[in-house]
Amino acid sequence: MKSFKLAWRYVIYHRGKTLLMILCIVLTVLLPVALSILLASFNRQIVARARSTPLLAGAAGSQLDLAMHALYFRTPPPGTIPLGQQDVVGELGQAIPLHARITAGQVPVVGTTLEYFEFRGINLQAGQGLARLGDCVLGANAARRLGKSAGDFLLTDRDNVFDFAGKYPLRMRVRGVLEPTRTADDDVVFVDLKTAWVVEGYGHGHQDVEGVSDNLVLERDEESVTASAGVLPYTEITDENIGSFHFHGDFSDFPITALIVVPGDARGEALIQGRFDRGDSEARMCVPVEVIGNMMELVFRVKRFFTANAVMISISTALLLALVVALSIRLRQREMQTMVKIGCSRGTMTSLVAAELGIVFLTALTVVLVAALTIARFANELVARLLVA
Amino acid sequence: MSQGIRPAGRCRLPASAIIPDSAERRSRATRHCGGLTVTAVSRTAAGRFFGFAMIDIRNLQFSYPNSGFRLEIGALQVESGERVAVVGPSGSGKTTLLNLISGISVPDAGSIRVADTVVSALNDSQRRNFRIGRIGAVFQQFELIEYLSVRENILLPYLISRALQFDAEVGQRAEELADQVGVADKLGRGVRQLSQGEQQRVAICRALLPAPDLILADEPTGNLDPANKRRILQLLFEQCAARNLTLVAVTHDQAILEGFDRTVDFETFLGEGPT
Repeated sequence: MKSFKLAWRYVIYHRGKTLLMILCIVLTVLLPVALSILLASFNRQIVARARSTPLLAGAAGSQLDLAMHALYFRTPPPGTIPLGQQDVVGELGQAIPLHARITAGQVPVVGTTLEYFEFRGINLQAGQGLARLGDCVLGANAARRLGKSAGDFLLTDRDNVFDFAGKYPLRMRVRGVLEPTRTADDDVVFVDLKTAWVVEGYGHGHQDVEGVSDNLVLERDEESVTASAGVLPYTEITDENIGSFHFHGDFSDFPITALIVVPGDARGEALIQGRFDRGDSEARMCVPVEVIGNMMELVFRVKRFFTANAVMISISTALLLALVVALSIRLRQREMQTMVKIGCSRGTMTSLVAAELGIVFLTALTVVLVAALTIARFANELVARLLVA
Repeated sequence: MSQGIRPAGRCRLPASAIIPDSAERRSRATRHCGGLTVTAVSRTAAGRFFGFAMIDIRNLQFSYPNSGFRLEIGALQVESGERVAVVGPSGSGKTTLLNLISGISVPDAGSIRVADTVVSALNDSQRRNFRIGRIGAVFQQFELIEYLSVRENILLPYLISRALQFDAEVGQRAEELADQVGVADKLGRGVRQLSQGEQQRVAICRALLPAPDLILADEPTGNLDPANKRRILQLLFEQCAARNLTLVAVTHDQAILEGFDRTVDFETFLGEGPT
């Protein structure tokens, strides 16, 4: 206790030096610990999301790109497949289309069907669900980021501000906000698949060409009217103009970026995979949990290098700290000799230095523990914000 | 190199100079000092009546390993309450003598007795306990601990040894001592905030607090200006006289020798060889 009191007075008197030592230890220990916690959380989250998505169909290309696109909506898809590919699944399972190539306020807009919400177990927090063309519902984080709530309007982003003939932004009606799920679904805007197609120009509504000025009519015959680009397309779907919205072509040919496939059973899963793996299929199938598993294996391999690096840094720091302590003891030789001359034992001197080091290490480890627990407490949100989203 | 010391009898002080104030002596309490229980009154009284010295060195031989230095003292006695100055050239063994008396160093041969304790026969632990309880040390550079307050520096012997137990009475004694030497109003300050004279006063308090039998001072005024030198020496003499403490001080300063009862000059006896 006497040694501890003297040690405490020493570390308090030299608080600058002590804090520096504590900081060195904290950083050396905390960085690999924090990385491990975050990586574990990342792995848990990404694997859980992958596990909850049995099969994915999409354009031929990188399976990782497809999985990351369909699970997190952030990366561009490898390509598109026609909606008609959902017929390949047939009675063997459920097929949920996804189409995510547009954004609104830099937030991904995901076109899908109502089955998606049921499949992911997403409920409304406020407002109502998608009711008609041009409606959207916001993920919890997306609503916060966009500053929108039910009843507001949201404009999709223009592809290119210099392309006047390109897609027009669509003013969407925000119908509701979803409950937070702590998944990528919180960070996107959901629309009906057809609304996504409208934004992409596969469907549109415009002024009635029968009633427009003759200046805008390029050609007219008994069966059709060809109008110029001067005929204004609608940029908002309202109850009044919804009737003018129409699609040119067959829905089954319209693009989707991914198809979530939920087989009814193991046999169905094998059969579905077989169907998609046929040479004549336009889509390729991947098992997300395998793709993500392979990716995480690579991540953990990289982490092993980092861990080895952290160990080396820890050893270097420990050696440097040992040097600092040795030099400090050397600088304190006179103080120690005085104590010995007065009658202090070598053991007491040793316990004094040990108590000082104990205070430094104990404080550092306490800080590491508290920081690690805090990181662990918020790891899921941190990972969702920093890594997954 | 061989050094010699005049036999103790030849430079012994007159009896009147070594008989301390008996009332002060009786007021000193019985103390526990490691394994040694010492009653100052009985010890000094015994010294007075039976005539044994506070320090009795006989046939002492000491040398540092791998050096040519060698200290040999045939006999040296210092009476209880005596104030002895040890002078001599650098390297003549003055500080070594203090280290041997206090048990920091162990002689190669011969005996050192301080009061009723044969220091040279004690083991490491016993020597430490003897030192912290029975010897008060004052150094040239004051050797205060910079990260402790003035109060904690005075209490240092109680903070670093299990042999001394701190209690309220010790704390009160520390304050009284600080008051006596004029640093009572600075107890809570850091030692760096004190002048050199004040620092040495604190060091003297630290030396006196465990109620030692003997004060060993190594150049106690060596780092002070002339005015402080006189004051500190006066203070040391007053405190030793008030407690009937024996004082052995190593010094280079011829100007302060007149205040001591006796001077042991290592240079004078250089040529005499060991006794």
